[in-house]
Amino acid sequence: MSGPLTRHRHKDTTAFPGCTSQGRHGWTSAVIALVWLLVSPVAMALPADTPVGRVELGAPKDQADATIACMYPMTGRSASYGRDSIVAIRMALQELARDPQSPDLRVIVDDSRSKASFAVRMAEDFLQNDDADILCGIVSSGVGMAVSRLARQKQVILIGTDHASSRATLEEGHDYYFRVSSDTWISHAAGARYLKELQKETGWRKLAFLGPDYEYGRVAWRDLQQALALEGVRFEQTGTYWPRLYEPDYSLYIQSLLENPPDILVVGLWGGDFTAFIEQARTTRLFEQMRVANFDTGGDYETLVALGSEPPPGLILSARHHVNWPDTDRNRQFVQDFHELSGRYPSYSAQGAWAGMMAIARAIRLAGDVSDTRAVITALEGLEVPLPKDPDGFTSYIDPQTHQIAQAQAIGTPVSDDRFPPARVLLGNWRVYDAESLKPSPALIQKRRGETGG
Amino acid sequence: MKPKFSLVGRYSLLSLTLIVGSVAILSSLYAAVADSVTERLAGERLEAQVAGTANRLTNFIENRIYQLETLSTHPSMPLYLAFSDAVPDGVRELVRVEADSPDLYGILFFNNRDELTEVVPGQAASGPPYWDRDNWTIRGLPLITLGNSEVIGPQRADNSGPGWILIRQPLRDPSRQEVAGAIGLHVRLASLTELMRTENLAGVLRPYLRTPAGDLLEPTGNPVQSPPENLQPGPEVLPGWRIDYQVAAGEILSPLRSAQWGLYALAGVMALGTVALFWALARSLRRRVTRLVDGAETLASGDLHFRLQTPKNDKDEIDVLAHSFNAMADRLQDMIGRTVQAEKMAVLGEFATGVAHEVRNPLATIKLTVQALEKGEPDDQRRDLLVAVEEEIDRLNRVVGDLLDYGRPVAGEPQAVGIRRVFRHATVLTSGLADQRQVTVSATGDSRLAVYASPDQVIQCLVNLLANAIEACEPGGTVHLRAFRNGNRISVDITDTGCGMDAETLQRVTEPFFTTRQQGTGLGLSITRQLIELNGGDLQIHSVPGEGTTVSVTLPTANSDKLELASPSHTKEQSTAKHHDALTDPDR
Repeated sequence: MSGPLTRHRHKDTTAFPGCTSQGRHGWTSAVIALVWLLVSPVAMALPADTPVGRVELGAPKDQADATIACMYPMTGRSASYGRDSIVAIRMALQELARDPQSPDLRVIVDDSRSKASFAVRMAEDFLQNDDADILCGIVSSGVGMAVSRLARQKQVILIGTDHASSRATLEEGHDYYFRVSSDTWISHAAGARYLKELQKETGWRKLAFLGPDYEYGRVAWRDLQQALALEGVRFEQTGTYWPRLYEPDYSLYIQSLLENPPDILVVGLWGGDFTAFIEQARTTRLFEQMRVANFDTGGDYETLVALGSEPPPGLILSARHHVNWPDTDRNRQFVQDFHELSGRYPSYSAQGAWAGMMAIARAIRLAGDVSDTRAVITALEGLEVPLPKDPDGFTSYIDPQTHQIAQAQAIGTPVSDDRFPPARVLLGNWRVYDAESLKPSPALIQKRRGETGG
Repeated sequence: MKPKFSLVGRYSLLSLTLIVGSVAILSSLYAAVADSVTERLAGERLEAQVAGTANRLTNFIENRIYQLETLSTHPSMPLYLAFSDAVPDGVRELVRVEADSPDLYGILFFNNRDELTEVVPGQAASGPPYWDRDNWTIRGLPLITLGNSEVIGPQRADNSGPGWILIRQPLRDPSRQEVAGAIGLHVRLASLTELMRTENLAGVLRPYLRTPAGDLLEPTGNPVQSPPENLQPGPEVLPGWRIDYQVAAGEILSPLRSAQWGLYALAGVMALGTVALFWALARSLRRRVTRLVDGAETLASGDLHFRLQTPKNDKDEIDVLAHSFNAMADRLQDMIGRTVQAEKMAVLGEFATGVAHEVRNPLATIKLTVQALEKGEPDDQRRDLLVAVEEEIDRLNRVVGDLLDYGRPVAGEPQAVGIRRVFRHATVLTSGLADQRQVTVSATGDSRLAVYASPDQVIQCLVNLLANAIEACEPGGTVHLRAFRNGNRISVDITDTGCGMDAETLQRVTEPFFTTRQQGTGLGLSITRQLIELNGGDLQIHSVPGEGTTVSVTLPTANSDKLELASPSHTKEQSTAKHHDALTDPDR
């Protein structure tokens, strides 16, 4: 039953504009650098393709001030997150290139396959073979936790851009780990407040949770429970359901939910899993019997596209970034630039990757030298990073205590809106919760960091 | 006569038989199908499904054991227990890849005191023992042994996360060949229970997994709070692990059973409705048919005037029949009336012929005598009287001729006759009677109107009708003549303010020899009607007792061609008119 031990590294990356092959010593590097200088202006203007396997972006190794090694899924159900992240990294590199003060970044991206074993080995290779200065990326929380442990062990900074388990910054937080996208605590703290307000309006009493059976789902449920308790929301828990990640068939769980229906079903599925769940559930009476909420990823652009023109009733959704919120120049520009570069609108993972690049560049610039890890850590702690997700008057910043970026969270419901095709609905009827109010309290941080168990 | 068994009753019985028969056939068909479905769902096939489900679960455990053997027999694996850092990278990666299996939380290593020494998180790892090991233990969990493998658990799902089982095999120290510890696969419990998925049974079979601890797990891996009723023990998956199942065939058949009862209820309602409908129909039909029968019997008894009351528009066959009945009665009455009339006419013709023969010859002698006396009479006054006598003889002769004509009716020669002329003659000829009865006669209408008929006969008719009208009036009464165009015909109304007639009199008033006056012959109106009909006309009488009577005479209008044709004979007509006028016109 042992799996193949050979890693499938894709060295031929010529299909992706702006990429160079791996490797690269001596004159080979010089040739690569020359080729890169010649083609990069053209390559940056070309539409993004769909890469599978390793790609390199930005400055060549010998000209780079820092090598950033990112891991994203490029195959399977979550491949779109990897693709959008790469487009966003290219956008960030373009923006950084316009700033002469900005460090020249060399960014390597490879397919983590959403497997911890694969990603850990890949991270080790990045550090050993590619002299990576900083690790970044990772969509799956399980993979993120495994790589985070490696980062702590190797004393290398890991910038999480997409995985969201709050355990990574609370119980398992360490000096070398930072996250630049909102986590399960932020989204579920906002969700708890939304549910509290909803309870006053509708009087709902019964709640169930359905989440993927891995780190992200488990922590999301725990975050929601703790946030509801802090908000003083009283409810009857009718069940918790744990389908495996990338589960193709949710009929067992839908059947069980229909037999013991809650008033509110909070779903922690994401990406294609959430879409598959909705497609299966909408063939039943599930949406007539309960309201379905997904506070962390359900409002992702790709999910909204999959909802079509007539989404199921009662959905309450949010995501770590929205194409139509906040309605600020920066967000509009980000969405427009992404569309021009890729021909599609961004999923939330794009903003995370973009934020990661911007945060890394700012921190290196402040630290002066990426090799001074401690200085870079110091620069990252409290670093302000203006992001598309920031509403007017607020700038995202990395909380120095948790290393988690502080951001506002907006929760809405699907409304007809065809401004961003092919989506026929976008989120509207927003309820916005400001960043400061969503940060975990010092007491909670202390409790979580002192807490044992899962 | 009342029918022994009505037609409606037969139809009712037939319909009821059809309904009951159909329901009986459908019911038996349903029973056969339901039995078949039940057999398919809850019979031997279901047993096979349960056995197949158990096999899937057993196979899952066997595959995990096989997966574990690959690791436990690896010579470097015991290094995880003694010298973790000395584990070769290849072996470390092998373990990591195996741990990334979607059905595993991770791979765990234990020393020979069952203490956890090393964990390798997989893709689904979360919480203890991966991020901390406090409060995590396998103590107290059920344990079964399969060869050299142990299946430990399950740990039930709780509020913090889902359940799991541990499949463990010993690791032997390669140098001393003694057990140094164990390696275990930390398996998602749901990966096992999800195999109880039964897609093809439409929810009829509800399988549950009975654990060695006695817990009952549903396919999602969650424990069942209250065991379902009629739970049946199924095949064993592992020692102490068993598939229990509930056959919920009733649930899938319940719609069919509901439909069956619905069918019976519907059939009952339909039967009752049919009985009620046919009963009401029979009552209505019998009432209406009885009316037809009574009408036929009345007609048969000689009452030719009896008619059924019928709606204007036929609603059904009974109404059509009633209309046909009335039409038949009309034709029967008309035929009988014509027969009687013909017989009367035959008698009258014979009588009139005799009278004419006996009266005309003396009249001719009288006239010759009067003419001779007239020639020899020198006194003008006397000569005028003789002339008057002569004229009366002529009129009498003409009346006799008319009587003869009535008996043997001959149509006059039609020609255009001005209504004005007809009115004038009629009023002049009846003026004496009107004066005598103190009745005012008036006439209105377009003087240009003309009818196409025999002038003599028209005047005769009008005189007759006018005289009848005057005689019907009390002194001070009025008679009004009115002529008007009615399409291509000319109508003349003679309206009096006399005593009027009741319906019975009105119905018989044109019959020959029917009269209400002692001095009447009963021929006047009959002759009038006959003459009008001979001239292509029509006579209608409307009367209200105590208010008066209106006689409407309708005759063909004289068109321009006819007037032109009539012009050459105008002189002759004039002369004839003169002759008549000499008898009637008071101006002369």
